[in-house]
Amino acid sequence: MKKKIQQNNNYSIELDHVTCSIDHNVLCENVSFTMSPGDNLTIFWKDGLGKSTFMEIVSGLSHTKYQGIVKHYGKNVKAYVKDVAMKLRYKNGFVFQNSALISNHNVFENIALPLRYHSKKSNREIDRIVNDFIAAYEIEHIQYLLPEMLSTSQAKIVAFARALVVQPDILFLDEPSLGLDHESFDLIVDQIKTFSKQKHTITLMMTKSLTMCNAVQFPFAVFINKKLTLPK
Amino acid sequence: MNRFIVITENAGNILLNLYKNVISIILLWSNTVVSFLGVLNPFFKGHRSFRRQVSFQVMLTGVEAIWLIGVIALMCGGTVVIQAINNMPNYGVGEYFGKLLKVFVVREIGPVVTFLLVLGRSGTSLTAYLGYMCVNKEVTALESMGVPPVEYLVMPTFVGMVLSMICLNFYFAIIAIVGGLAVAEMIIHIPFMIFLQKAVEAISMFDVYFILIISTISGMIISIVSCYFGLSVKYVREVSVVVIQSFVVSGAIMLVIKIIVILLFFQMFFPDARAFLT
Repeated sequence: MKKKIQQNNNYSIELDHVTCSIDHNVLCENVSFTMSPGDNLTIFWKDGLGKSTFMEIVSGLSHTKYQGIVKHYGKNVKAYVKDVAMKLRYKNGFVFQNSALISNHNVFENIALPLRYHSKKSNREIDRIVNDFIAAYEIEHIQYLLPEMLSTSQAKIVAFARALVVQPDILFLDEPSLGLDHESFDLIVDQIKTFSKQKHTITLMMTKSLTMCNAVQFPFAVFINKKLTLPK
Repeated sequence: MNRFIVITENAGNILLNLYKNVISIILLWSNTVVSFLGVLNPFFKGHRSFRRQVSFQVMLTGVEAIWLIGVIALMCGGTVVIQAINNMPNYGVGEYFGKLLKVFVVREIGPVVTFLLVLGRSGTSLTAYLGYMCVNKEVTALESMGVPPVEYLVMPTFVGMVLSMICLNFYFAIIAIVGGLAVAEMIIHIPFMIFLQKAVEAISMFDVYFILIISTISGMIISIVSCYFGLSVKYVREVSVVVIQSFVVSGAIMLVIKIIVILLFFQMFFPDARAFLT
């Protein structure tokens, strides 16, 4: 089964008439789009209308809260056995709005966490990879701090490093510019651009920030009256 | 009539929730045991932080509770020994001193006091910690990285809690008997070694097995119930509620299981081990 997953390079996201709602409150209606390897998309959506919920649905983290079909790797996410779904998620990077760093792990361990759990690399090799990431993101001075000691910008950068350390096929970004200072903003934009220029990767970003949309220059979709207007 | 329907509906909902909770707790327990068996597999390569997390839990539950449990064991043991030595000869049962100590301290007070202390100290803190993790989306973050929360959070806690409970129960029994006799010697000047010999003679391998089983069950109950309620949190406001719920439900489950264990052990499997017979 594992070999099958690794050999399957047809990673894609497909939404077919997805309507999401929480407690009878409809967030979006009949959303349909497909993203293939090499595609990038920014979805512009106002605050408080369900960005994070929609992102959880698209990434397959939430199986309730919606009607319609969400497909990953060409298969309905609800049809995956839990173990297989977990193994597939190893190749998905997810940056949460609030960073969601594990509170009893320091920065170094937070970044190393997905590698330590999934990869077959030795601990020394994992430490080297994580150190390279820490140097690239210029966070050497905070690598042994706990998440609660970090500023919002620092926590966001650590969340980025954690998402990208596994070299994901698909990157989900939920409000990546929230709470970033100017330097961190530039760093994050550079990292997103570098990632999206790699062949065969998918980047899906949801934001309310026009500055971010303009900075990354991805195709631009927008939710108007609960309906998604896709780029032509 | 309308009111009758509302009352019936509410009662039905409460029963349904109870049923769902019980089934979910059993499922969480089975998932945890299955993932623990996976770790025991020598070819298992994943989850490299398992040992670190288990030792963290043992530190939090066991090592940090040593002083508290030691003091309480000393007080319990001292009280029982002094009362027994003063009062038992009045009723002509002075020769049963060792057996009373065994039944009362080792089999009854020890497991119950240790359970309550660990539940109040570590169980509730575990529920609150997991609750805040859920609210901060840390559990969702683990899922998004393909790390199952049961395997990463619940199972090491489960193993650490069981190990700690076993050690703490033996520790309580030793401190209660030896320390209790020492306290009694200081206060009422009894011959320490003679009474210690009586107590040690009374303790059999059956008591060791009994402590092992009851402490394993206690550790399982505290860890699984605390984790179940902690992981069910959706809003910050729920955290305080689930902490209370986990305490009450763990206590209730332990009470039921203790009665079942006592019935099974002393009525069916080992009738000879009852009371003062052995």
